[in-house]
Amino acid sequence: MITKRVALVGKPEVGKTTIKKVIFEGEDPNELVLFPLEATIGIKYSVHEFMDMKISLLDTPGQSLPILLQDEEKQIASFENTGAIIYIFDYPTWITDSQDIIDDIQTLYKINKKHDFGSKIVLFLHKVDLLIDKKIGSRLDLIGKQINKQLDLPEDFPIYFTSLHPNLIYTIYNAISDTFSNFSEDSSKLKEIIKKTIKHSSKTICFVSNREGNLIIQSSSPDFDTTTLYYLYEKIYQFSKTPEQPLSNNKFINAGSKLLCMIIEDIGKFHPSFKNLLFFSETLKENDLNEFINEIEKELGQIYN
Amino acid sequence: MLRQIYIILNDNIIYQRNYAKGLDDSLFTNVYLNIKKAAFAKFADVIRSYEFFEFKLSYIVEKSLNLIFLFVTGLGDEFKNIKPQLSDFRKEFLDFYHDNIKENNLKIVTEILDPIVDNIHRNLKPKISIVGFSGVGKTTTTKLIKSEEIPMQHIPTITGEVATIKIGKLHFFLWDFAGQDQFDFLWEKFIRGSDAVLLMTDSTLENLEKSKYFFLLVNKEVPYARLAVIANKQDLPEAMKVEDIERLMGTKTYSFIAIDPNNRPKMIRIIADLLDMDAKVSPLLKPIFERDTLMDKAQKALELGEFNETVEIFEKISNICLELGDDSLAIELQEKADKLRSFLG
Ligand SMILES: Nc1nc2c(ncn2[C@@H]2O[C@H](COP(=O)(O)OP(=O)(O)O)[C@@H](O)[C@H]2O)c(=O)[nH]1
Ligand SMILES: Nc1nc2c(ncn2[C@@H]2O[C@H](COP(=O)(O)OP(=O)(O)O)[C@@H](O)[C@H]2O)c(=O)[nH]1
Ligand SMILES: [Mg+2]
Repeated sequence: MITKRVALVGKPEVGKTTIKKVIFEGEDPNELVLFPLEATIGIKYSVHEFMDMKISLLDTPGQSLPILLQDEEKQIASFENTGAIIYIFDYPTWITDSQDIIDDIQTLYKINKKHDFGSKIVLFLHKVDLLIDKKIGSRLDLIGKQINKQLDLPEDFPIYFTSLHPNLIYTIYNAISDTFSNFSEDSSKLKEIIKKTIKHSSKTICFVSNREGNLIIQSSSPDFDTTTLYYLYEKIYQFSKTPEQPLSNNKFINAGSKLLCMIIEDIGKFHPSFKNLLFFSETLKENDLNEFINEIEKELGQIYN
Repeated sequence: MLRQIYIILNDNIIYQRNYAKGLDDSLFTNVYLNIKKAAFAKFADVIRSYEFFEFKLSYIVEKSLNLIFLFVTGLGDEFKNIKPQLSDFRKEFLDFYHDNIKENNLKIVTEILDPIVDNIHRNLKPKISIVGFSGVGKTTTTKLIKSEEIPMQHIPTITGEVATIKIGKLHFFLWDFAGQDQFDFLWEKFIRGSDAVLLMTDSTLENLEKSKYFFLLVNKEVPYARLAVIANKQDLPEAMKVEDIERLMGTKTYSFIAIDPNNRPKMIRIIADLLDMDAKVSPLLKPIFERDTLMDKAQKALELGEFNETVEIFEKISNICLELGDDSLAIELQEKADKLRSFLG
């Protein structure tokens, strides 16, 4: 089993430790939000298993973020050999202090480049439960684009919108599992196959979920309407919670402003890390999507059987 | 604003009243268990408040009776305003029921409690602010929705007008701000604690671009308030289309014509929709209730593969949305209906 290091960084009070406790230590999010934890003091490591990997997680104390961003020795101790640096910021702070957050992320980018850490920088915009908007899908999409625009860096960073709210808890699971699965060889191979398959299609997206119902792969054609993503996550989560209602009966799904054609296939037989392969499309019909599934299963068969 | 009230005796909810979306059953159970643990701890405060995601939960506890009074409000409500309401409520309740609780024959008479609770809702009423540049139609809108018997109170010192509006059992508190220039410095005080902010525009591109300025201010002062754009003056030929405005502003947008007296109920519904008010509280809100019920029905039909029925329901909802001023949703649903029909061939 390979071990990957992942660092969680962010300002104090954004929710780093709470996330860690809920996701990896099975604590009750409602209790942790009602009765918040004491501030984290000192850097905390913990090790967790995920897919075919061990993840060594580093929770940095928020108070020391400015020091960390200045002190070279600390940077090397914290970020050397990390596969991913997850920068967590929260919605209220983004509203009041976006420049400060932009500065943090730009600094992280520079540090990562300077020391050649080669870590993947991933952004979590947390506490989106506080964003109460009737058009939340398009709002989040807009905020995501705005963040990358303001960052003005040579590459766009993946941004996940997360929350521990009971109705949104899947957002944090998806964000973590999608980030971690990038280090898994099995998942990377499958992702390549999917990318190749949908390369020429329009307004179509593909997901792979694991046995826990969390998304581990997401790949879409460039013109896919990302404002529907928020709703798709919610629907996929709801389905995974009610297995008695077979997803395969559904041909269409209502996702925000769009009605998408959908199809689903159980690919658990190829590898225990995988469960469902899902396609959603604005332009393609059931038959076309079935073609995709056949192609992908053929390739998976060659690898795993 | 007060969203919900619970009275819990010996772990049973003996009274509950909902004014707007709040905790659902499973969330309540979970939260209650946690709060109970804290409230009944040895040295715990009798009266306290916790933030819980988008809500503020405040309780007062009667330890000897295993009795908790719980208010669910928005994050914008200050505890110092909630506190006296909680204390008074406990006192009134106990004055009335104290002996019955002890004798174990408690029968809650909702006819007695409801008016008391309605009064609390009145004191912790939603604050709705209408903002926008001068000339876009704020005053016209406020005049349109204020109820006749309660005159607008002009407060010259803050160059804005305040109105309390009573519709059915609902009481709204409304500010009509003057434009930006006059009172930049007063802004903070005005807007603080708003549950909903309506950004009024005259549907011209120039005004919309300028109005983005208000978004910044609103986000800074009341990031938790619910925000919507009102696309007013839709009767004028140069008005931009609502879907385009919504795209431009990235925020829920409702079409409106403030000079049309028939639009009074429409504005009330917009506000109620924005605040997730419980539609059963006022008959005026029936279309919202109907829309939500139909949405669920459409979802079910879609899941069951009953596509012809789904198309029908989509079109019905689309019509209700037009009535609500929610043009973009009306268009979305019409498009979905058309798409589904084309797939059916
Ligand atoms: N509204 C909301 N609050 C959260 C969420 N996650 C964490 N919090 C709160 O954020 C605060 C800070 O959490 P903590 O984990 O101690 O932050 P850290 O300093 O980054 O480790 C606590 O009060 C948590 O209850 C969330 O998803 N939504
Ligand atoms: N055509 C049209 N005129 C409107 C509408 N709403 C308001 N007006 C007019 O616009 C002008 C300014 O309205 P007012 O309510 O005073 O704007 P305020 O400065 O935002 O309070 C008045 O002459 C109104 O009659 C509308 O929906 N359509
Ligand atoms: Mg005026």
